[in-house]
Amino acid sequence: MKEFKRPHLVEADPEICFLAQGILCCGPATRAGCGLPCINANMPCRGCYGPPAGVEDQGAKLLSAIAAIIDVETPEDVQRIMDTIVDPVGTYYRFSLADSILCELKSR
Amino acid sequence: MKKISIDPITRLEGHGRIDLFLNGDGELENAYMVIPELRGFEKFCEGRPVEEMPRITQRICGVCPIAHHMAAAKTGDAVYHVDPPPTAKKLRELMNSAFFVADHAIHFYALAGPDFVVGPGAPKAERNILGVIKKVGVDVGGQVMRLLKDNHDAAAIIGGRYIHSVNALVGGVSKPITEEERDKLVEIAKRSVETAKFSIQIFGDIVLKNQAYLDLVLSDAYTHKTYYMGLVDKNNYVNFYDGLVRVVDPEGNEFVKYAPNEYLDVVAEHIEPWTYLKFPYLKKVGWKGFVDGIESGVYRATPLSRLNAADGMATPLAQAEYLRFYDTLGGKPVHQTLATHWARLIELLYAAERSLELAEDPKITDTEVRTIPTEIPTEGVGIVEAPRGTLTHHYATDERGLLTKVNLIVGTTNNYAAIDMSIKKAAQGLIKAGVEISDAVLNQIEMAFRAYDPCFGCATHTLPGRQSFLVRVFNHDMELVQEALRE
Repeated sequence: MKEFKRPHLVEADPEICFLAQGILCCGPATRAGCGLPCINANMPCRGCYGPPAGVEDQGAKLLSAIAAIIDVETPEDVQRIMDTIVDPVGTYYRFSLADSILCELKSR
Repeated sequence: MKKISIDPITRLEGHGRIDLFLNGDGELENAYMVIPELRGFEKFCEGRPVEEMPRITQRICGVCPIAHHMAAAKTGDAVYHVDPPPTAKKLRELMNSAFFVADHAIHFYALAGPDFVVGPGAPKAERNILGVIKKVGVDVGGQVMRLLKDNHDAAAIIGGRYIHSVNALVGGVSKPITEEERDKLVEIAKRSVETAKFSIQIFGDIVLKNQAYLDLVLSDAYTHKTYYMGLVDKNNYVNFYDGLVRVVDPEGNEFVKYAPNEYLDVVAEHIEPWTYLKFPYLKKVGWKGFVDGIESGVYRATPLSRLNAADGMATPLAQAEYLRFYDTLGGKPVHQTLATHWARLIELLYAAERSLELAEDPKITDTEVRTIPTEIPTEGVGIVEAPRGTLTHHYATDERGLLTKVNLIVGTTNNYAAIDMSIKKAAQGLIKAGVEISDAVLNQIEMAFRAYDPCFGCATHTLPGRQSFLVRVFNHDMELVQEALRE
């Protein structure tokens, strides 16, 4: 994966994983059980069920998933790809910022 | 001075409190509908990508998320200067119509119904949906539950899920519907039209044929002559999804008709120190305080307002009922706040008929449902009708489409001044020196706000609150003498 695309600027193929199409999806860091209504409506997950059991920080978990799928050779490549995610904190932590490591760090 | 508080008030969406102040003689001096919560959406949406707004702003409310979903998508279209394909617009409108059917039905049967069907003075324990079902019968109760489930299913077929749908996005919708899904939507809409007709019949039998109720509806205690606002199509018929906003004066003459991006020329907001909610008013008329009449900028945006602001309904059965409504109540405009319940049922019928029209539209299963934006995002306004009033979203973004400014005027906010006036007038009519302030009296004061179907969850979108609705009565020494807590 070489860049991320925003959902309104691309026609998503409903048969292919959003992340494989370069569309940011919070599925890998989100508790299952919702029945995937958003995915089935051809829209990426935004993590409203919170982190899966055993995951302390939903955003960090998602960042880890993203790190595993991007094609990079150099630190500049990392920067360039990550710049295509326009609102990282607002997306990774849409429903979990208040319980995140980020919030704990800020309150120290 | 004596003060009565009803806290929490019940059978509304969100939380609030009514404070009634009595003078030394025990008569009402003033009344306040206090909204003690703040939520902060306009602030924490700054910095978010505009395309996420249909999914973020609908979290303002679990009762009418679809209205926010629609307004945010339309505002996103405006920000990106993009026009969605016709089928995308039809799918949005169809989803919004199914939502209106369910939402209006919940209000009539669960929130307002207990006051009329069970009775305004009935014991508190019976003034609820179960009391309504007991009165109208389990079969009718089942039919109403079916109506709700059907329309939740309809919205979910199009939107992915009923509460917090996801399909509307900048430039259109995320997926088309199949022929099989369309068949289900047609079936649902047909059943909904029947239940809507039947609901109007129940209203006629229970309310209009009961002289005591009719007197209550027509009484001066529940009447205010204000301006009225509502979205209309090119024929000046009521529309919930698109068109221009029309405002008529208290005599029924058109005062202004404006496009969404002109709203700041028409509406301004007044602030009072005793509540977090602002009071919108018509800028060109001016804020003259909590008074009605042609000289006062107070307007209402409710089902009754939409009927008053339009020339008719765009579907046949609703239009016939529209004519009967004005015939029965003595012509346009109708100023009796409690007539809003009848107007809401006419809208319920319209929404069901409109759902059927759209579901049967040959183009509804077309697969072209997206226009990919190509222009630089700037600023835009989107307006739809929410069940409880005109809903305006206004966003400005940077060149990447990240929000720099967000302003939301939600359905209930439009009506806040009028709700306050209605409570005061009803309380003045009901609270007299030497008369016991019973539960029935307090409930009849609550009926004054309930007609508006207010949603203070939405109206206080502007930081966190707690759930309550209380009526408190204070005496002339400012001692709390009575409190009615709603659980």
